[in-house]
Amino acid sequence: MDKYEQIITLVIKEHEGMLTAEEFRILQAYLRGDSQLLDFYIHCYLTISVFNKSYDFSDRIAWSEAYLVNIDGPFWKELADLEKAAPSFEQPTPPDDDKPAVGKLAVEKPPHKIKKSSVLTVVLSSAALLFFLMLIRFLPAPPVRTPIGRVLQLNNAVFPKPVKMLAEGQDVFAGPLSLTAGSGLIELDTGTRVFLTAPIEIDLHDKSLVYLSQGKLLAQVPPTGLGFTISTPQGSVVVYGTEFTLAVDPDGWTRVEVFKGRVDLRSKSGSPVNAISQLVAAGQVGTVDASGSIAVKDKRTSPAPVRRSLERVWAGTQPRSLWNDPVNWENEEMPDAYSPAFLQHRPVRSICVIDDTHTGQHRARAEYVNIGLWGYGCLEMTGGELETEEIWVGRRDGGDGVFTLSGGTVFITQKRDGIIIGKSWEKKAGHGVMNFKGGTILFEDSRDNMILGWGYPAQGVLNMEGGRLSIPNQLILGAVSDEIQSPEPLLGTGYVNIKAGVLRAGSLLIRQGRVDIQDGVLVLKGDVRQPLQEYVRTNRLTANNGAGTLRFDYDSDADETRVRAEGLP
Amino acid sequence: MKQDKEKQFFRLFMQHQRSIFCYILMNVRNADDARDVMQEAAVIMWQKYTIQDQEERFLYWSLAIARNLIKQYYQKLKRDHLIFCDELLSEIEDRSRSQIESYEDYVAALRKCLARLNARQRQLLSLKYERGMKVKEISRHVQRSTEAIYKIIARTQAALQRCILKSMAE
Repeated sequence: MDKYEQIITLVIKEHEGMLTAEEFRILQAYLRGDSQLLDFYIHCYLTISVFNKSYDFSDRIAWSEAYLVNIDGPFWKELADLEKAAPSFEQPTPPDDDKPAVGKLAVEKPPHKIKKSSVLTVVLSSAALLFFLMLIRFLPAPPVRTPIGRVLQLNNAVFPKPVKMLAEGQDVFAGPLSLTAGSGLIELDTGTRVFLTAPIEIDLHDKSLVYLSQGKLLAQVPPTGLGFTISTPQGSVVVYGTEFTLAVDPDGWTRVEVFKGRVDLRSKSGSPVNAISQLVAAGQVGTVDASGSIAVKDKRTSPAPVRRSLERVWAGTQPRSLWNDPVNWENEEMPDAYSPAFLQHRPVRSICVIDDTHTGQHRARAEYVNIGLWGYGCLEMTGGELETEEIWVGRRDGGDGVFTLSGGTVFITQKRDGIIIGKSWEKKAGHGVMNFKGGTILFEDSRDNMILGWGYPAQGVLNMEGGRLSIPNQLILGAVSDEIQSPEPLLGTGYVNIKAGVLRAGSLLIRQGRVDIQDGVLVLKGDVRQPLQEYVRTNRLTANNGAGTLRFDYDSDADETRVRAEGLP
Repeated sequence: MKQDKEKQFFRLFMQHQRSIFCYILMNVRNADDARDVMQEAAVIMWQKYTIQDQEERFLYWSLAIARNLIKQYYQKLKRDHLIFCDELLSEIEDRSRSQIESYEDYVAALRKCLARLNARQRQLLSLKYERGMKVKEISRHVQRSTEAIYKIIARTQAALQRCILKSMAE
């Protein structure tokens, strides 16, 4: 490995936050001693930043051309090819001296006498063996079929004759599959889930390639399903993201609607390398018409081509209804690790409750939880367990959510956005309130944040009324809208009221809003007394609604700053 | 008047935001932190923006704001992070600023050179930098050792960087 390759290896480690002190010292020595290496180092980061799509709103279509070459098979095969092309490696052979000594025993053989009948037997046996060998050689070999997935769920599914019926739990093999009524959920071996709604005709080529000739489907693709492709008569969809629906209409159009992540929508017109292609991001709908033209529009300006099916919608009818009772969910379908829970109380206001009964196999699970989406929603947790990747309280237009936690444990299982209270969309507010009275929230990833007020005019409120809440990374009050269409960096607003208990965070960032401390304690990592004073000066950090004063203590042993209120309200 | 200001700001911001982000990332060298600094920069830029006659100054003005925020970022980090010495940081800052001036040329060269890589090499760089997968995740995904993935990425990117330099010098 030359110096330049070493620099790249160190850059990768640095970029991932994995650089050791020793490697850091080596990198610094390289860069200080050689201006060419320093330029190379800067170029590496320039390349990385061009790849990084965080602020790539303008040239992403042009970029997609660089990734249009079809990958013939799963990615590991490609890497295996790389390894095959590597220089050969000679296996050292031990010298002759090392060979174990093996002696030969001289045995005198008796003279052979061959009988005529023996010769005849040998000839006949050889002829029979030859016949069988020829038979095996020229007869078609029976196909070896290995399953590529299995059926997870069927809802009143009707299969057309003479296609063999499938049953829940049964293996799925490559080949055509059709439904004339009902729906079905298939999980491929890569973890990709495909939800089929009748009438539909698909052809499963393998676990990474499906041909959709007619109908509509919804796909959820985990990272292990990267490269999953659905081909249609007009084009294909290659997955970069995680959740989308795809429909082939009788009018010869292919439509894809993306809910999360993004997909590469390709038209079949043109060569495989120079095919027309566009990325379709979350919230957008892409179409390929019969002539092969691609159009991508915002979902709100396009007619919804297909019904989204995997979210589980709250349908409780009592003032307080339990999460783990299927009758409280639409179609009696409860959320699980692969389906989000939407707590939007329409038409009846019903609080969703998670209590002590939600433990072990009855633990409440959802891919993510929306509490109050386009309307009022409320979740009260008094005990038990909730496992999810992220929680949104008060989201999008008219979203009004309340999450009260007084007991039990919430597991935030993956690095996503953590907990977001108040999120706007298209300048329409979501309002969220979280009342923390007790219980535990366990963030599995140390990079998880809590964001209060994301995008104008969203507002998020955290009321600490007891217990201990620890946010591993940042507590952010006021975040800028992440909408691509947003013409300006519009800030949301966050409020934190620490009435009792301990609120601990890796750091505190108040862009817009206020933290008010009454009887509780705010604990932040490091000695941050000076930046906190700036928040006090600008009334973003107050005691007893501005009537009291604050005391800052830095504990050098624990390396943390504790903030308490002094003086009567 | 306010609308004119908004229009001008957002047009210029959209035009230069990638360059600004690249500049921040080159100096911060951590994607999550760079996004935070970019957010801060966007807020300050919007608050401080006044209509400019000379639009070509927008980028330099934005980079100056970003530079101050990067300084603050390093001041906050000083306690327990590995930070280059001031002299090297300042050298990186100078050189990254001049790189941003030829940003469009660099992107054009990068595109040209990417097209010369084979599909699997492009796919690997895409997994690493576009999708933001860590080497460990890629190695798990493709069932190869992390060392092998480091080697393949290093070779691929070294070839890419050499091609870009050559292409820009032509």
